[in-house]
Amino acid sequence: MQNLLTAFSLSGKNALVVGGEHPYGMELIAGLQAAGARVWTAGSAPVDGASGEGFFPYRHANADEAEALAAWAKNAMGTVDVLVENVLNMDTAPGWSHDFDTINAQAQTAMGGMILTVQAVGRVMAAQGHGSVILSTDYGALVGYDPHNYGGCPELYERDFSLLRGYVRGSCVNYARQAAGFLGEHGCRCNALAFAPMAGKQPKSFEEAFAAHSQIKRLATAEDIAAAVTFLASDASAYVTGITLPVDGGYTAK
Amino acid sequence: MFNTYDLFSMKGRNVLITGGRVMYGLGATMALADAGANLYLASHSVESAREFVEQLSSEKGIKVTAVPFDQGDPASIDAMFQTVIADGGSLDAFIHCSRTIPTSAKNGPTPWDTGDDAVEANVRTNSAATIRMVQLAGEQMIKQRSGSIVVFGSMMGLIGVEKHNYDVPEQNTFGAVGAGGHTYAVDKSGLTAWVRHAASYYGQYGVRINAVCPGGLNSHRTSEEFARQYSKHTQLGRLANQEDVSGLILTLASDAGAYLTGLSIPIDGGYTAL
Repeated sequence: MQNLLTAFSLSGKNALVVGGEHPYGMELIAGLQAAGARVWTAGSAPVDGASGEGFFPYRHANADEAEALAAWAKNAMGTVDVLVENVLNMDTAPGWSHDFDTINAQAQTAMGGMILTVQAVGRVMAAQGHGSVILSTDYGALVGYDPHNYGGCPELYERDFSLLRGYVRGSCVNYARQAAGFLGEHGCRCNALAFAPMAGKQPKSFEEAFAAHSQIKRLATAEDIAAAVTFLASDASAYVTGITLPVDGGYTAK
Repeated sequence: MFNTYDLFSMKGRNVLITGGRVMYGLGATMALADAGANLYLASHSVESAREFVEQLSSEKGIKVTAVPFDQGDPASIDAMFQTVIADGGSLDAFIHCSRTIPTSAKNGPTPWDTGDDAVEANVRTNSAATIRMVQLAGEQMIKQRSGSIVVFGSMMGLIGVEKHNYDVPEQNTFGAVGAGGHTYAVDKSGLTAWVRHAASYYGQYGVRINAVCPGGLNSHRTSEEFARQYSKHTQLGRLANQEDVSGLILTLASDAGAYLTGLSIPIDGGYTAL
């Protein structure tokens, strides 16, 4: 058997991170780079100091834009080995009352945008005969947020108890399974990652409450994000497709 | 002592249902009517619903009212809730069975070839409209500190596709391997997660929300060969009938389901358990 650690290496692999400006984006980019990947980025704005090898302005607007992204990626990267789509971690409009147009505009960007991006870049991967698609979301894809974790944090409550947030966050869970079916015929894979909130980025009382309800008693670190995305991006997960991997210290396991 | 059957009664309860005249929606309507609900049927055409409304009302001895509804028109959605709440004085249950099936001249043969206009229309008329409708139902139920919302998910929001099921002639493949498959999976997957998210929010107000996730329905669109192939993947060996959802809908809508919230329950003859 070969040294297993080489299967985890992203050395020689090209990754495209879309929506890196949203939560977890910086950590995803840094994690892929730390595992040896060359990373290109696309989004509404470059992430500070983490544009990677190149940046494509991308708003998740429509199919033409998605096709332009795919063409740019193919040309700039040569092969697209990894696609990380992070748009589902966008901040949705805070609070529970919104007019139809607000709901629709954000659902179009996140859910419609994810579909169009994966369709366009997925076709490039299918033509290559290999590739790993990773849909990035948070633990709201798997469970409801717990109102009891938000005592003393009214702003955070408004942010997370956003009317359409769970719909957006959870839309990738079965999309990963669905897309895995068609990508699989072309030697490609599709999985999702569902992260716990990041340590050091939340109010203290929320951190304490969340940690108390997890099994490992802490929030997610940059290393946790890096390790998980490296696993799904690399050949170490060659036989893994259609799953949503919780990276949450066991929060959703109880 | 309490009478268990009383828990299922919908007598005096105002219930709004979308898509309640066809397919699974009809199974839901019948259950609610038999339980004595005061029914409001969201209807694209009040005129074309008239005969159904009169027949249901006289056969079941309940009040049935058709309310204009266009799922693609946000103003119509707002007006529908205003009408029902003004007329009934409360909204005790909202059952959302209706779904639009956006098509596109750009659609190709597989989900990878779904036209962007179909993606847009699906997100707008299914995902966004569902979110808005539940928000409006919830607003009233929060005022009441009671109410039950039931939305329709799908088996296709819980699992991927067994593609060879569809390798049969003359089978309508929407929702699975045809164009639209991706948008359907994304919408129903989002819905499943959102039911938990919304249950977290509504729970503190005494309002419940659940999803029923049916498998394939035996309908006029089902080819014999498809039914045979598909049935082999269920534990009960058959497709679903309309009335298979009736018992669960009534349980979730009534006080029988008073402690049930945040669930997405498959009704699929064991398909997703295999």
